Amino acid sequence: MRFDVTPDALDTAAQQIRQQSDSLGQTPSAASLRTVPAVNGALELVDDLLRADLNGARRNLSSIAEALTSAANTYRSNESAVALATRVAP
Amino acid sequence: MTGYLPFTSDDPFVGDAGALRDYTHELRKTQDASAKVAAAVKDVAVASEASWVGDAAQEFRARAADGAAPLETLTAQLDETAKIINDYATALALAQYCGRAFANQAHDALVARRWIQQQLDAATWSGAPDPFAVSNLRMQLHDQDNESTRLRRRFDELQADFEESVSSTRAALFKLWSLASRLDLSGKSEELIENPKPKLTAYPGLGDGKGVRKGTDGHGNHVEQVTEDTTGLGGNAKGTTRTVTTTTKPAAGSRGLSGRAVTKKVDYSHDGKIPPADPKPSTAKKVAESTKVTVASASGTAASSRGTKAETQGKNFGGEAHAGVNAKAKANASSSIGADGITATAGVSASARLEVGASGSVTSKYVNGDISVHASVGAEAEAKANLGISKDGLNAGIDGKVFVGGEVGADGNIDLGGIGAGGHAGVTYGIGAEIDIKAKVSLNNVSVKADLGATLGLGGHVSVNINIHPKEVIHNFADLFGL
Repeated sequence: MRFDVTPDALDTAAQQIRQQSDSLGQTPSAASLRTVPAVNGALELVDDLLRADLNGARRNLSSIAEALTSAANTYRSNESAVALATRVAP
Repeated sequence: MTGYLPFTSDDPFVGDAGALRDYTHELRKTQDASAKVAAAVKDVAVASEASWVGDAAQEFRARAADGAAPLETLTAQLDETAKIINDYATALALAQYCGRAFANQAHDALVARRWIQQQLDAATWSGAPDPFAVSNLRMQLHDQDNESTRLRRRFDELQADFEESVSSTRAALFKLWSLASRLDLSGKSEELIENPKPKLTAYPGLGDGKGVRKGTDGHGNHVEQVTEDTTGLGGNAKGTTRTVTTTTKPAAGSRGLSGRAVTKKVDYSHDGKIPPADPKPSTAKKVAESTKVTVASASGTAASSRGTKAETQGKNFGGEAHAGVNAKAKANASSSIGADGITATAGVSASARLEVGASGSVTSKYVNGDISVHASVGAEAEAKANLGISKDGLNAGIDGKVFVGGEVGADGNIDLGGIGAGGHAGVTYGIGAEIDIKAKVSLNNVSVKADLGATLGLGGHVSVNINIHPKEVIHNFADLFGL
């Protein structure tokens, strides 16, 4: 995999991470499943667990994308400063 | 075939195997997506190492590493859940198919037996029965009885196999949940206590409302004071700001203000605390600017899941018992000010589901040997309180009853078979806002408590609690079966 360290490439990578996060969708709900009570109770526990873990995974992906976007903005800002300094230099 | 089926009037094989397989299919889709995302995140992080260095690169790779590991865990959990449910769906479908087949065959045997019995009765009552025919019919009757017994035995075996599948499915799900919840189930008499921090979705403050005071200061100047509260970004508790704008107009003949109105604006910012009381103009009286303004609201929710297990020794039972609880609690409160005075409402609710099981050696008049029992129970509790302050004084109501001041009593308690739930609402005086939601789980006691204290500076207090005693539940459950 090629990884370019340019603001646009970093933004693109962040966008891809966000799309990947969206692709996770939602965990299916076990709430409507009719089973014997012993299985139903245990399944509800696992259902809650999977939902919580999926939400946690989304937050992590958002954090990763945020790091890429932040880096892109910083580099973009630095490029502007360099360009400005070049123009005003004697 | 419709109508009566032998063996049981209830469905012993509850469930929809097709719906379970659909659920498994959805789990697999999420699992695939999770695996792909985890791989993609790791690939990007590895690829970045060759060309990207510096603090930003390190930060990105740290977050990528933190993010990829839970995704891989999630993928494994989805895989395991899908396997467990798929196995259960297979066992259920088989049990339902075979169970119905056995029941149908038993029904046919019953119908045939009735017909043979009728033939036998007719032959016997004819006055001159044919011994050979009677003997033949009796043999056929005997064959049908044997067939019914055989089918009954097959059905019982099938039911026992299915119950074993239920037990192993439940155990596998419980194990998955316990491991994922990072519970240490190895200790004896272990007690796990958790105090989840409730998430405030809004914080007490004036919100969209506005308070106005008018009066005079010590010099006879006219003073108008406007108090406005705003909540922080996104309804977060942090960043509540109270703005107090005081406008003083000089009284006629006053020397102190040079004949001009003076406006002073002060902002108070607070982090998670209720804004301070604004300075009152002396001799000021409070007036309502509009008919009714919501001056404060707060709500919180918390959910907790825990499990524990321990060795236990009872009168007839020695072995291992375990308990898992899934508890949820909610709290909310709001207050408004109007021409009639101030009113506040507050409510809390809590629910808990307890799964208990025990396995070990039993000695009783009915059963001797190794057993495994399971029970699932739930409880809910709710409490509401209304509080009003008007020119006639303080009044508070709970469930239609009226109380005046002080602490008011509890209601709605139940205690049955080791499960207790109660609601309590009270009225106190104080300031500040606090939502306290706790869940405590041990072999001796499972309790869920939601407490919304001292709301809105007016003094409302409501709480609910649920108590479940796993040992008692286990013993009561065992008693049902004569263990």
